[in-house]
Amino acid sequence: MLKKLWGVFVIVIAVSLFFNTVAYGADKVDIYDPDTPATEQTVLTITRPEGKEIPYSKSYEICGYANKENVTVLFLILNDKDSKYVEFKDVNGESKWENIGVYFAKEVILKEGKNCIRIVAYSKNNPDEIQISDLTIKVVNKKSVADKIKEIKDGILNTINQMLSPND
Amino acid sequence: MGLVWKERLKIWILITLIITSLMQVGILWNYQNYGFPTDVFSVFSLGMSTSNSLEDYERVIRDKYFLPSKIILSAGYDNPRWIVDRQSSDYDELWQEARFYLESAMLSKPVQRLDVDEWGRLMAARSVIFEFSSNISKHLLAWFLDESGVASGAISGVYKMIILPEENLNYNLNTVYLRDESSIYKYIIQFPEGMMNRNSYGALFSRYEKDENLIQYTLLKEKYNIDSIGKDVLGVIKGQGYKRYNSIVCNLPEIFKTGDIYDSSDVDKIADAVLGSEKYGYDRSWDSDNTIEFKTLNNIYRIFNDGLLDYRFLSGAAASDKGSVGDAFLKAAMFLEQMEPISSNPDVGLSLTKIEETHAYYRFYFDYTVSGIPVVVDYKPQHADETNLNNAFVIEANSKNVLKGYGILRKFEKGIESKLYNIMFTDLINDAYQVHGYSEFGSVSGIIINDIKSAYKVEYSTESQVLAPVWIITTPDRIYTIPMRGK
Repeated sequence: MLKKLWGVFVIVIAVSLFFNTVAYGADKVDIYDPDTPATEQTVLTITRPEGKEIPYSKSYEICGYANKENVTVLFLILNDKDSKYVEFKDVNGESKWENIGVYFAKEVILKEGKNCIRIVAYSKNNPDEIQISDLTIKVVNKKSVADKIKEIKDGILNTINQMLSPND
Repeated sequence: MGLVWKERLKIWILITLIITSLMQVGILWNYQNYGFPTDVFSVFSLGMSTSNSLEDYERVIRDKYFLPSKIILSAGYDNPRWIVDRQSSDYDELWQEARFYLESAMLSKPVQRLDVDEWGRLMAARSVIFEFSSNISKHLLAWFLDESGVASGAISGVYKMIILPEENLNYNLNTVYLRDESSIYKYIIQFPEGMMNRNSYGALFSRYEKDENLIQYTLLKEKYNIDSIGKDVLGVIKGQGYKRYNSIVCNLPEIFKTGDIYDSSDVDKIADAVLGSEKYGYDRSWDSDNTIEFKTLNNIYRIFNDGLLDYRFLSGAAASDKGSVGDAFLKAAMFLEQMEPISSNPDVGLSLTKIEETHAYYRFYFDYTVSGIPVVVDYKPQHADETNLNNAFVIEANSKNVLKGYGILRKFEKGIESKLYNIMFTDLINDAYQVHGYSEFGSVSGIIINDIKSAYKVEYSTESQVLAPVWIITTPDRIYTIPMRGK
């Protein structure tokens, strides 16, 4: 009987130690470390960017919606100098938002070229479940080759149309 | 000698009788114009002048009631959209363009028929979009456009319309898509001389793109690619996020403002305002609750002290009198326009928001607009026999008569103060969840948002109300009202 009690006691201790270790680990997630892997989007579904996007404009809206209540969101961007994630502020000078509600949209200004953005989200009801989403947005100059080709094409079409126009 | 005088007297009596009988015929014939019938003989020869004035009147009705609920300029995929201000000259110019293309399209054959799901793709192009409050049937369009050939068009009606001036490679051709409830139809139409051409549209887009003061809307589907948001719902997600709105003062028309029981002069003023020149033909009565009844053999108006009006045609209506929707609409619009509180303020309009059809008549739903902003009605009358009213007026009419009409008479004035209100999509949706809760409003995956618009809301009151703007969120099941956040 005593052995059984000891057995139960040992199991309880082992399980509690396991959960404590997990919780300790979650606290220790280094969200600034590029090597920290991305997770599933369980807390915040990011609807934009959807994948690797290539916009023309430096002004960009990051959008999504919360899957849980009382969600906090943090924006980070990969710093080229020391290859670490640093705070990334939106146009209103904020990088962290608490209790975002349901739908989420923030306008940011990107640099030309590749922008590696990390979005960190967690619910205050379960702070151990930290969501990390790494997104890449490459801003290209509007006067890219494709645009120049389009301009030339438009110019040719315009000339043809002017020649064919009955008013001329 | 006495006999001669007797005969003369008889002749004069006969002449008098003939004249008075003619006058009586004139009175009955010209039933609506009471007074001494000096123009008795004119009613026997209804000439061109009358028909001209009717045509003028029809034109006024067409211009007033045939308007899109929204005109949107779209700069293309992932680019801004702008809602064209109702008060701006751009609105009038673009609507004039749209009327031309609408008529041209309805009179020609579509070059392609597309599935209604394609609308989102069209909205993502550089375009001008025209939205109507309801699907306007081609028969009513024929009346609005005063072109009978429109009624034989391929499309059943028009709910939305989109002009893509840059789609066709030929710079002389414009592309127009019309959408009814089930399909989209494509038309290719030549840019007409003297109207906007491809370059004019380009210049218009550039002007809006450069104007930093204009509020930029986003096609939400481009940012939130989820089923919860309809394909053409616009919202603001960037920029300052505030818009200035005037408060609106909503009052009963002055004629109702009598604290005590009405006297005959009060009732006469109300008769003047509601019935106009027809007032003399009506018997009138009123009770201690200030409920007034104007009655003839054929018609009865009941007007309550809160401005609620209830009209019934008493003679019954035959299904054979149903006639065309255009004729019935004209009757409905004339019924409304004869009322002075409705027709007197140019800033206040009535828009046609829904049409229903039965075997015997048409039912038209109208709502107030103030300076182009819709006014939604959620009115629970305090009279036992009246049901909840969700429109300003509901009129049932056939081509011969208005059969039934009920609604609320109100006077709207711009308030002195204006205020900045938060118009950010995320904030308004979060407010919706706060007001209605998850259980009522539904989770992100459990709700479908078909439309979001700003409006003013009128509820039951006999007192003056200052109306602040609200959000109206439309889902397939119901309409939610959310107060706007002030700055």
